[in-house]
Amino acid sequence: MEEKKKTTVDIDEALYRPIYETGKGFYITVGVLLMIILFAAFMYIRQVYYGLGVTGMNQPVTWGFYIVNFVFFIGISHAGTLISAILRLSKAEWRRPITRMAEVITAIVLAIGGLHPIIDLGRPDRVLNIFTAGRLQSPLLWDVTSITAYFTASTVYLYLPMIPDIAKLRDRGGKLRWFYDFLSWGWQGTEHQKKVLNRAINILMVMVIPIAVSVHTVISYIFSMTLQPGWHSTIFGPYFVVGAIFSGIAALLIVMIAFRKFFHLENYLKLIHFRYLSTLLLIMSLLWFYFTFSEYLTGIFGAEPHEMDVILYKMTGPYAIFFWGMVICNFIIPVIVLSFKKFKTIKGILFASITVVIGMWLERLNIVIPSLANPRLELSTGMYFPSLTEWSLFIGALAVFVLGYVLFSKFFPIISIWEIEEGREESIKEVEERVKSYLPGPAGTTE
Amino acid sequence: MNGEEKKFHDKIIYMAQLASISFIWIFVAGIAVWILNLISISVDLNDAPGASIGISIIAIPVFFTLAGILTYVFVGFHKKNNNIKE
Repeated sequence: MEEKKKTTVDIDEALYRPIYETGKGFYITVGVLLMIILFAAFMYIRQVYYGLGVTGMNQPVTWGFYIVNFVFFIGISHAGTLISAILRLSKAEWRRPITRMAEVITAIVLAIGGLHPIIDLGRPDRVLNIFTAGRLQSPLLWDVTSITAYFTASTVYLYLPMIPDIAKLRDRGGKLRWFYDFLSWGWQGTEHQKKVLNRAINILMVMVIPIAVSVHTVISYIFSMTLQPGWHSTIFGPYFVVGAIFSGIAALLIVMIAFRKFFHLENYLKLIHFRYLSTLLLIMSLLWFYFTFSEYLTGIFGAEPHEMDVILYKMTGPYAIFFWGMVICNFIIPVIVLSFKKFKTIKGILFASITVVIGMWLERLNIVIPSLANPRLELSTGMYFPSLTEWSLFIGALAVFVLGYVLFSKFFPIISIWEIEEGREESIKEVEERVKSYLPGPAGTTE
Repeated sequence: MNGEEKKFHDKIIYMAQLASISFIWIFVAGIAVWILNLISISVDLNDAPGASIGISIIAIPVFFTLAGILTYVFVGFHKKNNNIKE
C-alpha cells in the first residue's frame, strides 16, 4: 500500500516539474516569442500613426485579416470551456487530463480575438464611443456583450477548478508562496470546501454552454444580419458554432500533442485520449461538410445573380485555391486520416488537426473577403492582398497565444492534479456503480 | 515566519482577496450601468428600445450570476475556515 502511494506521488511529480525546473529552452522560447511580439507591436504603432492605408484593405474590400482572425480566434476559443463543460457534464472520465488545457486555450485566445476589432479600427481611441454612444440593437454590440460574458465565464471556469492545485503549490512553499496563497482563497480541502467548489463548478458548466454557443452565433450575425450575398443566411448561426467547435478540438489536440512531447506527459495523455478526441474531430468534420454543402447547394440552386457572383468567385475565381484548399483541409484529409485505425496514430492525428486549423482559417477567409470583393454597386470586382503589417500582427497574435500558454504552464500545472487524484481514488468505484445502474435489473425495477 | 508575522501575512492576503472580490462586483456593476445607459439612449432617441431591453434582460443577470458564484465560493471557503479570526 505504502509502495503504491509512493509510486503515485512520483508519477504526479512530472506535473510539478515544469513549474520548479526552468531549462534553457524556456528562456529561448520566451525570448523569441517576445521579439516577434515586439515587432508586431511596432507594426501596430506604425499602423496607428500612418492609418489603415498601410494595410491591404481598400474599397470594396474593407475587412481583411483582422476580422478573419477575429472570427478564427474566437472560434478556437470554443476548444476550451465548451468541450470541457460538455465532457464534465456527460461525466466522461477520460476528460480529467484534458479539461485544463482546453480551458486555458479559451481564456488566452478570447483575449487575443477580442482585441482584433480594435486593431481593425484606424482610430483605436474610438472604441470608447461604445460606452457613450453605443447602439445595443446593433449585432456589433451584441458581440461586445457576449464576448465579455464568455471571457468572464471562461476565466471563472478556468480559475475555480484550479484552486485545489494552487493550494498544493502554496503548501509546497517557495518564492511565490504569497502569490499562491492569495489565489488559493484559503483552500484546506475540507469536506465543506469541496462541496462548495463542486456546486459552483456544476452551476458554471451548465451556464457556460449556452454562453459559448451564443458567442459564435452572435459573431455569425455580424454577417448574416446584412443583406449581403454570401452572408445573408439563416444557417450561419449553427454553421459558425459547428466550425468553432471543430477548430477548437483541432487546436486542443495540437496543444495536447505539443505538451505531451515537451513536458513528457505520455503517462497522462495517452493514445486513448487522442483517439476519443479525434473521433469527435471526425464527427465535427462530417457535420461541417453537411453545413457547407447545404449552404452552397441552396445558393447554387437559387442561382440569384449576385449570390452566384460570390459563389463563382470562390469556386472558380481568384479564391478557388482557398475554397478547395478549405474543402481538402477540413473534410478530405481528416476523414481519410481519422476513419482508418492505422492512420489514427499521434502523428496522423497531429497532421489532421493542423490541416483542420488551416482549413478553418481558410473558411473564415472565404466568408469575409469574397462577399466584399463582389459589390452590388457599380464598382469593379475587388481583390485583397494582406500587407506586411497584417501578416506581422497575425504572426504576433499567434506568438501571444504560445507565450501565454508557456507562461501559464510555468506558474500552474497544465493538468489538473486534484482531478487526476480524485479519478484514481473515487471514480473507478463510481463508474462501476454507474455502469451497473445502466444494466437491466430484476424484472419490475425501473430505477 | 513567527506567529505574529504569519498573522499579519494572512491578514494582508485576506484583504487582497476581499479587494479582488470587490473588483468583480465593481466590474459587473459597471457593465450593468453601461447597458442601462445604452437603453436610456435608445429610449431618448426612440431607436428600437425594445431590442436593447431584450439584450439587457439576458446580459445583466449573466454577469451578476458569475459574480455571485465567485462570492459564494469565497464566502463558502472562509465560512468554516476563517484563519483570520482564529
